[in-house]
Amino acid sequence: MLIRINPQSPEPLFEQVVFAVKSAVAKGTAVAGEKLPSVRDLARELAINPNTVVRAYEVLERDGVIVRRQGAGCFLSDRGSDLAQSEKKKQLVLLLRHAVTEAFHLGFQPDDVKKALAQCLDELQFDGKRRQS
Amino acid sequence: MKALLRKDLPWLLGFLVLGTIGLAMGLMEHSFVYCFVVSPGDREGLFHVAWSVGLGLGAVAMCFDEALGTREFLAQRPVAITRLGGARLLGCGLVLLGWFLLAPLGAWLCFVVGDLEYWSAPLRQLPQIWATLTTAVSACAIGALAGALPAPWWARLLIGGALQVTSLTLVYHLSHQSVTSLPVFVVSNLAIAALAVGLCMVALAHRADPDRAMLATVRRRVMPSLVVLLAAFFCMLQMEVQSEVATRLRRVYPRPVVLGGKVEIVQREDYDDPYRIVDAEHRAIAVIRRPETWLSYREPSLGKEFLRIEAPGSMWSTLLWMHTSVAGHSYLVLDGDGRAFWVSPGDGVRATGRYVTHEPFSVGSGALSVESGGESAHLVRDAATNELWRFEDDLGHFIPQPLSEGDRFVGFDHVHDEELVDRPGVPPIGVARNGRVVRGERFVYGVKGGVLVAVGPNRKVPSVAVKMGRVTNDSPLSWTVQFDADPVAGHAAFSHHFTPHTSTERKYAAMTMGVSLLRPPLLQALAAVCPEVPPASHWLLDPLVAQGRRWWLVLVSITVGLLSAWSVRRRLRTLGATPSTMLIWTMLCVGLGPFAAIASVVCERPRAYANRAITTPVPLPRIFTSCSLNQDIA
Amino acid sequence: MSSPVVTFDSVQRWFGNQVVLKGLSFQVMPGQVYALLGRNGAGKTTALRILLGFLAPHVGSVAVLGCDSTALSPQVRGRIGYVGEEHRLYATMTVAGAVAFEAGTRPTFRRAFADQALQRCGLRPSQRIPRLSRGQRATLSLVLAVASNPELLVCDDPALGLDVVMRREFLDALIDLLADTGCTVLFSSHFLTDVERIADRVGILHDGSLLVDATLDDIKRRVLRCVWLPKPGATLPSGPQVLRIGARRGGHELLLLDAQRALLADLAAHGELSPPLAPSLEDLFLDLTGPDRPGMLREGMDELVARPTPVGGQR
Repeated sequence: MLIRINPQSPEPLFEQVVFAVKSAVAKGTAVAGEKLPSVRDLARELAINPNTVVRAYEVLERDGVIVRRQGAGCFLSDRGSDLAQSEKKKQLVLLLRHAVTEAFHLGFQPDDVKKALAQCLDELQFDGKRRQS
Repeated sequence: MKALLRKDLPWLLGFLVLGTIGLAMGLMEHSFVYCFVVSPGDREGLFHVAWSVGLGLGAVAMCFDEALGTREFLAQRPVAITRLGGARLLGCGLVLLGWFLLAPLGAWLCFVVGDLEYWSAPLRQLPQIWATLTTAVSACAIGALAGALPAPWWARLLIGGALQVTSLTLVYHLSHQSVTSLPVFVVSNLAIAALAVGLCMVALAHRADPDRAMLATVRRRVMPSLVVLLAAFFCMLQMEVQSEVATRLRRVYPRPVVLGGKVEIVQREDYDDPYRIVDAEHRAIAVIRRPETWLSYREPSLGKEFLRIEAPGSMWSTLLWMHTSVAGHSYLVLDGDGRAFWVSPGDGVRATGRYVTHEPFSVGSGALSVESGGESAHLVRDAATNELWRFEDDLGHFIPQPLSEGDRFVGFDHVHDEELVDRPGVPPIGVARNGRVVRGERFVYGVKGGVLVAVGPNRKVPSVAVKMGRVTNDSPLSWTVQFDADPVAGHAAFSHHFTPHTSTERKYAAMTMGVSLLRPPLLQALAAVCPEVPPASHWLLDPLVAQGRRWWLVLVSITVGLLSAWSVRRRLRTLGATPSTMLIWTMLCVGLGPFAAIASVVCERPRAYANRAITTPVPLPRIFTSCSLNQDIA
Repeated sequence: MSSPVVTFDSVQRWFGNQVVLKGLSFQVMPGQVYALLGRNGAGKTTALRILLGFLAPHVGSVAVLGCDSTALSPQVRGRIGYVGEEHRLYATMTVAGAVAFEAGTRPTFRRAFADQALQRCGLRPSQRIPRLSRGQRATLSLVLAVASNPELLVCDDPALGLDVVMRREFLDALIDLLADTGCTVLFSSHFLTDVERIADRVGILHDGSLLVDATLDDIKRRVLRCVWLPKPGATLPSGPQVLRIGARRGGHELLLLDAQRALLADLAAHGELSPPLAPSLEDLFLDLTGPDRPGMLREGMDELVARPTPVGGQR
């Protein structure tokens, strides 16, 4: 699994880590049961504060993307997200609202946004199902 | 502790090596023999090296990390300050121990390499050498105390120097009566060291903050009393300087004496500048190098001396060793305990004494040597019996040297013309005018054929040959020498009033008066109204202005005091000092003069009065995250 | 809630008649990495020296690990590691000597760890301290400080004078320490890219007080920077949302805090507005402390005081 971040970007670092893991899962480059690097290894690899990695892993665990096994490390989860369906919906709306707000500031029209969304879905070959190995 | 000593290794080793070399060289000053055979007292080298390297050791031990810039590197460690100071003092102790052992050893080795004969010489002298080295212990403790003081570097230097001078003086006055007492010298040095180490540990726990004002109570109560004390010390210093300058002034004055029935001008032996002879109006008549007649005389001491930096020196006696030639370049040495040694390059140090058994003389015996007509005899006067003993080269020990029947030893002197009249039955011998002779109650003795022989009657007792004049109006920069007419001696009345005329004399006079101006105005005024100022109180009351002399000097110093009081008052008012503070410093300035003004500037800093604390609330950070929430993420 | 490791409580400090700290207040929580930023002479070193008890504060107080900084006991000092600005070490020692000295003066020193770390950094025990390069000295200082397993590590500009490789080495050593022990770190630095990687929270010290005391995430989320070319007659925005207005060719450069949509829409309506973006730490630092900047607007400050801001997770 490739995790890359940009410390100068406006996104908080731990969110970048979370996004990197989530996008790896979404793209299918990472498969369920795969072991994540240890906090220390990842922190050294990215040259970031281990606290940040810990936070990112906590968020990922809460979102159900990974599971922590005592003494063994963190692994990609093979279950669906633990979040309730309503919660998930709320989150989706929030995410899209974020994107749409940004799009508004970039001066795009609703049609442009829709087109771009469709393109993103195409790129990911998003079919609403989590890929299984 | 080991780690702390390890980091101090540079100065530990540096002082051990350099100090040992210095002390060993101090021991070997002139010739190694004197140091070990003779008490070190007569040679002050060891003493002066000891206190200066000791002072340096203590100061460097305490300031080492500060000088290196590693103070904070060290201070962040979990090491208690007492342990830190303890490690430094332990290091000092080790170096001192090294000096005690290695310096005599090194000097001894150097000497033994030169000549194996000396191998046994040092052992007997070790207690005296170690006694002298206790000066290094007290100086080291004082250096450590000064180095640990929470004060800027210049204050540490000043305080360290002052403490060292005080300690040396104190030890000198405690241990030196007519003979320096060895136990008192050692004990007082060790006591000073213990006191200084204790104070040093207290000082280590405090750190100075030059940006923080002195506490108000300290400024108002402690500092003024300290200033008064310092002023007293300062007075003492001024007196020392003044009396030294006045003595020099006296030295350049050729003294009129009555000599051989005539009033003559004599001159000190050590004065080498040409004399300008002037008439009554001080017009030059002639310039001469040196008056024909000369005589050594001692100037009267001006005032009592307080500050002495002196070796435990004359401790072991006033006249201890003689420096005279026996059979080439050999020496006879007499130490304070009455032991005699014969030192010659070929034979080394050999004990000698009375008779072939080499019995020692009494404690305090003196050595002297008599020269006349190219011959010389080496004598020791036994202090207990007042008998003379002569050293016999061939025998290698002293034998009794009796004087003529019924005569008693009086002294050791030069001979005068009138004493060299022929004496029935004794052929005249050539006694040089400056030759040294033994003076008995009845006869004067010179050397002839290696033994003492009477060369003439002792006419010098009572000594009427040289008569000093009466000195009156001693002010003390000018004085009058008077001789009353004496029909018996055949000279007329003579009077000479001295006032500084030449540039040298004026220079000394100006220096004395300059020092006088710095004295406390209050004491100057007191001295001016005092009917009599004894020499013992010269340090307090200036003899220059005593009994109303030079009233203008008093006036000037009072004016200077008032002016400094005015300026100090003005400064304090600008700073915003309280009336009571202003009153204290004004009074001190009026009483003590510019000295108190300087002290007030040092004590009363502007920062004590500036209301510097920022009372307006500092704006909070514009971008702020509350501390209580930033960790809550899940 | 755990108590803070370091608390600066309105600390004031003068040097002569020059005031260096004008009431510095901040807290460092356990496990946090706090970066103290500021221009040269802003008072960073003074603050850290006060923290370690080398200087006494003239007003206010500093508490470290629950102990007043002016009376730090040896026990408390044993829990603090310090890497000084100049990486002072005893010049007469070798690397092994420096390790031995550290081991002799700190009871918690881990000798094996230090030896291993030095080997990894390529420092031979027989090397003499004066022969070490600046970077090597810095590394040695850090290894020595870290090897004692401190609860609080204080570094005064540790990366100053290090090249890029050495800085990364240094960062790695710090990351290892954090991963191993989770200790609290308070450091000052000029290398903002490093700070962005490693710090949880930054304080920007300027003119004796803190301009910024916030988590990095919070700064990135709340601060926006945009360029605005106003139409004629448009008035400059003001209020608590505007941090700074700088001059810019033909318009203004705005630094906004917690900008509301209404404000952005208003600005867009009255002129040309570039897309607002979160500034990098370097930009923010320059904007706040740069020499030719007119400084931050202070009005409306009070409304902003200590507003608790929910962080993380919440969208």
